Amino acid sequence: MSTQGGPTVETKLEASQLHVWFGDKHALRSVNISVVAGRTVAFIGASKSGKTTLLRSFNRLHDLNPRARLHGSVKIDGAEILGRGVDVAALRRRVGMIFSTPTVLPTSIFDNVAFGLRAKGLRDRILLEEKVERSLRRVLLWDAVSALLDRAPSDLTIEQLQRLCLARAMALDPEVLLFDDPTATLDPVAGLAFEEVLIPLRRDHTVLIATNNLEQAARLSDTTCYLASGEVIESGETPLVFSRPTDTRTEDFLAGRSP
Amino acid sequence: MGLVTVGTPKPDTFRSRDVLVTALSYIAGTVGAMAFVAVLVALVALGWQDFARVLAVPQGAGSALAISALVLAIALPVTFAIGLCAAVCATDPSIGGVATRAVRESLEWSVGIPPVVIGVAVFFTVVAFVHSSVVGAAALALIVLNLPNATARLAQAFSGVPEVAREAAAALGASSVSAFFGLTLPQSAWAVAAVLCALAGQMVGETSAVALVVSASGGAQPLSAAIWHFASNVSLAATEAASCLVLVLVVAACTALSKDFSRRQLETSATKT
Repeated sequence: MSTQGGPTVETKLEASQLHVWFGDKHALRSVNISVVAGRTVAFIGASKSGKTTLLRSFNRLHDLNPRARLHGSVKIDGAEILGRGVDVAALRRRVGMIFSTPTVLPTSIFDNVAFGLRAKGLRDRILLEEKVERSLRRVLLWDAVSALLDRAPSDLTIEQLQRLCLARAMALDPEVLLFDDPTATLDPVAGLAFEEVLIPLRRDHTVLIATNNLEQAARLSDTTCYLASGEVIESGETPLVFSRPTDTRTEDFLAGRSP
Repeated sequence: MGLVTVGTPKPDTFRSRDVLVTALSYIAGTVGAMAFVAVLVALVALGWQDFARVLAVPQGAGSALAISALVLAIALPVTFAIGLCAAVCATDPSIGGVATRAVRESLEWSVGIPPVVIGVAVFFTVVAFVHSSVVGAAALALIVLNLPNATARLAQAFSGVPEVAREAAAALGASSVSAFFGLTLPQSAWAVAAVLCALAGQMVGETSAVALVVSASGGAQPLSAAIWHFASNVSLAATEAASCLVLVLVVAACTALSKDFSRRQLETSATKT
């Protein structure tokens, strides 16, 4: 991965001169990053540093916010995604997202996982059942919920709910997975259990994870990118960033010192 | 210590489509039943020839009832449909832009203007320049009269769907339409049914106000004036009283249904939470 230079042949995601405003607030400032296919990148930084804003730029979720303005370029597989002619629904099926709190839809477990498939136009019940089962197995949730598919997910634990959200995204066979602080609402044990589910998925997907948990970033990522005040301060191989940061601001953040 | 069983486990199964279908059935059934009962009562009370006559030459409380039924049958579905679309525009963040701003601005403006003023203006304009029938003009007046209220209440019903759920649906590649039918409408189905019933009750009541305008233009008398006018006439008094009672009962039934649907929406939301 190169995070501040030009794109490489294997580049999956690329943001160039990306600026994001929410009204007058300049949330991202001239961000340039590129992510190689199959790598896991962790975005670390203080609250409001732009981690979530950057993630949402890759699936155009800012479109839902009328106050958001984007300027610059974001590409997936070399194709620009910020243009008017882009099929945003198709883009979001390629780029799955898991939020910080488990955002289950107010429907049954089966319908939750099948929601994206139905929105895509899949109506065949047998195919839906196959895909739902496969997705739930991939997140190690099938055994726990196979008898409860028609029920509301209200009886599941928070960690199971987050896995259900992951299964819902996985049902669409995404190429990229965006995790927005996925263990923020989980206790340490549940957080580690969720990471166990995430680890095998990294092999087949390009993963971007915004996290406030530095240990999690160190455990899961190949590359770490530190953001502050909407700017990329430093990025590189995770062991190097954590052991020998080149910027004093990164060093201060990792040491828990106020800037 | 022995095992103590308290009550029976409440089944937690629900399907959003079941809720939607049930609510839509209630909505369609309620509207159909109200219109049918109102027309039927008017027919029984007046007889077909008198029913046709009061529509042609509106006079008395019986005609108020007959006109109410017909005006409701026209105005309610139109108001509901337009209000639904406007409420979606006002609340769906993915639509945004000019449509959302226009609906929100219109709602804010309409708060400051008494709806009856707009309704009366529309009625006279239609009668004077379009030469519409009394029923058509009254229906149009009622639509304009109730549209801001219907839109605001439907928008309130839709805004009960959490923003994070909308975002989650969008992140799964759901278009605005599939997100509305797959998420927003099922979750707010009972609230929408409650709005519809309240709207029907309000419209039934307001047809009397519209009839006042009609009488001013030489047509039917308002319900209250009709009661006063015919009170001394023993032969007609029973019919008029029965017609008034039906009108009151219809409004009361609409209000009761609306309250019941609101309660169901609260229960459904609580279950999902």
